[in-house]
Amino acid sequence: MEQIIDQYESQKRKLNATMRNRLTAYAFILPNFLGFVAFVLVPVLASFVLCFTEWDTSNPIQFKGLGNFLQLLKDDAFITSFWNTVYYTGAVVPLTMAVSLGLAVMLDKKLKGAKVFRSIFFIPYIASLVAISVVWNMIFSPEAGPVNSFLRSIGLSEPPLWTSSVHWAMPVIIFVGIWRFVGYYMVLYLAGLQGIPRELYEAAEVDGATAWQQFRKITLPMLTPTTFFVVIMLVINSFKVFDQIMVMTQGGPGRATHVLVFYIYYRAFQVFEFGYASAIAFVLFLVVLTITIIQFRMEEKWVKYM
Amino acid sequence: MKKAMRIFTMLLALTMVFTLFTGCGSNTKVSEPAAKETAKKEEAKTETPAKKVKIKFAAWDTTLAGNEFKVVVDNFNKQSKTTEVEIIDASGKDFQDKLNISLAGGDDIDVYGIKDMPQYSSHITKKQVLALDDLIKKDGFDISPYGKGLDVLKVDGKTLALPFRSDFWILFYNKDLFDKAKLPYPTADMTWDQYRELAKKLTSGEGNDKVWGSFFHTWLSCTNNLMIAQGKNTMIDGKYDFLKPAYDLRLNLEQVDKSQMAYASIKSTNSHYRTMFESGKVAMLPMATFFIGTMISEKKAGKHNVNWGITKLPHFADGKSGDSVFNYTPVAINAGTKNRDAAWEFMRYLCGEPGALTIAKLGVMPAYSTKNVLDTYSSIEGFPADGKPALESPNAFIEFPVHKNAAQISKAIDEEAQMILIKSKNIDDGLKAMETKVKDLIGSK
Repeated sequence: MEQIIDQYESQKRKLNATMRNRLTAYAFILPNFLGFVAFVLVPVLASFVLCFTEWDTSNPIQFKGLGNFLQLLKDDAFITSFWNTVYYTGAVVPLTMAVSLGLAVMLDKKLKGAKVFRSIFFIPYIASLVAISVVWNMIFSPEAGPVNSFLRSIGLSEPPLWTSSVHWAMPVIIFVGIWRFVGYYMVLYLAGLQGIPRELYEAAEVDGATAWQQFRKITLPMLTPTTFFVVIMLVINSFKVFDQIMVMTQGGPGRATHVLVFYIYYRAFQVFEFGYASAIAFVLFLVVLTITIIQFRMEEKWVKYM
Repeated sequence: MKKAMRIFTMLLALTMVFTLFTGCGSNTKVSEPAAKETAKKEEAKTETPAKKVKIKFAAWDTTLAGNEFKVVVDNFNKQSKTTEVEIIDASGKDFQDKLNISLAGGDDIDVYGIKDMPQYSSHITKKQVLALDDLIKKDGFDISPYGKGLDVLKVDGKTLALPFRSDFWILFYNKDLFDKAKLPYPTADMTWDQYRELAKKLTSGEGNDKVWGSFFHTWLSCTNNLMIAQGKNTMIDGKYDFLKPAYDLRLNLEQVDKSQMAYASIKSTNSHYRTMFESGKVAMLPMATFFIGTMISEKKAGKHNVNWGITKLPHFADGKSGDSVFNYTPVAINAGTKNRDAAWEFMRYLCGEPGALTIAKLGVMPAYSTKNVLDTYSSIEGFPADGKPALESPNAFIEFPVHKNAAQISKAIDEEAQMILIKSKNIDDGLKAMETKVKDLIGSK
């Protein structure tokens, strides 16, 4: 009998210990979690509710049902913004991946100054975007910018007008987007490269594999987990593109660089239609969610874990 | 070697931190004098023991030297025994966004300035303006000096704001450039065809010495106003083929005569009409009267040395001399104010004769226009001696009447105007596209 009681007591003590452990853990999470609730969770939920309403911040909120979504289907500006966002994402994701992987492979070698270059490529990622955008705007200026001065000097009499041209504005935005993020993804790839065991390369060399074969048969497959992560992050970030557009073109010329987040900003904070803006945000969320789910479904087909 | 490497890494890290903060530093400078001002005010208050009602007035650029809002507020605070006004400042660029957000958040702003008519419309839809008719009637405030222009601020017969400044479009020109080209100064009865000929003759030089005969800025109104000045149409009519002559003229100046900097270049080089004109690179500049005050005060401050003149805005052959477009800077009382009477006391000072006389001395065109005020305005030091006729009896029309969707209409039209001006669409297609885009917006009045 006494034994049983003892057992019970010790079990209770153990339980108390785990409880206490858990509470400590929660206490550590709490400050961050409170911030998350106040500034992310509540606004997101509020925005979800607002999707179905009409609200201009001062008149009372009116319930609209699916009205906002029906209006979206007929809204030219929304449709243009949607395709512009797809255009941006379609170009930025593969190009950023290719460039950052290329840089990572080059800088993974024991080169002199590799560390310096790694830092240099990373600077755009942490530099203030407003400053960057202003500088790129000057570089691409049609009259006085260095890019067009160069193009003229090699004999192009009418170089593109870049951000003032309907066809070239988006490529400029894409270029700046890639330039900015390449450093960050390069670091991810560098970490991935360093995780590949050297023996694999040594064995391949003994077997007489060329550098290109080694890259295709060892490096690329071994990097697939990194690539998987990079693709998901890139897609999400590309769909959210906003800041360089806000500073460089304001969605113009015409609607050439009018993307979804810019449109959300315009509807919410320029004309104060929070309901409609929330509906656009919700559609954007659904699109990104769907793409991400598809990517996770496809994961096992091409991602190889060791 | 290793030590050198470490130092280098440290330096890099520092640069990174530094670049992180570049571009965020401009605000602190502005707030410093503002802080001093409030400190001064605090001192002033201790001297007057009588308790004053404190009200808040939101306005823009009030920290700039000689800002008209600031000067009127200071004068008001000196003479009022019952009310003390505190300015809530923001830069001109951010003002409207900040104001919208504070009003939406229920801040206790009592009186606020409004930058343009589309914004005024938006405040009305959001029911953020107090109807002033009872207050006007109660103490017999004389509204006749505003003229019939005040009607554009009325909605359903109610006066929802008073105009503080009133600016209309005229032509600025650089006398030295005309003298150099041995051409007579432009006159009040000039047509746009004559303007085009003159602009061609006044254009010269290359690169840094380039002088442009004409300069239209990138604002939507710079082109559209040429036609609105005729008073037959406004921007909320929903039909825009009437704008065609204006776009024709501008594209001819830019593409055929090359006497006007191309729209795309102005936009991407961020060229500002003020710097262009003040540096003597522009001979003729159609611009609103608010530029007069800037020219006077910046010349006094030694920022430019342009020998400038003004005359009436040119007109098309089927228009007439004196045709112009005007814009108000309205001031409204927040519908949610708790200090209605104090707010009105300030408002009638600001938008009435005392405020008008004060700002006229600064070269700012007041909406409250008595003979007394106009004389003061045209006799200030630095005002071009032969310029007074340019300001007399303009036949000016409003660009953007009050409309619920004014801001969105303005954006839709601007998008298409850009397409025309960068030559991605021809004029007819662009104007047609404006009509299609605004169709739904106009209808839901």
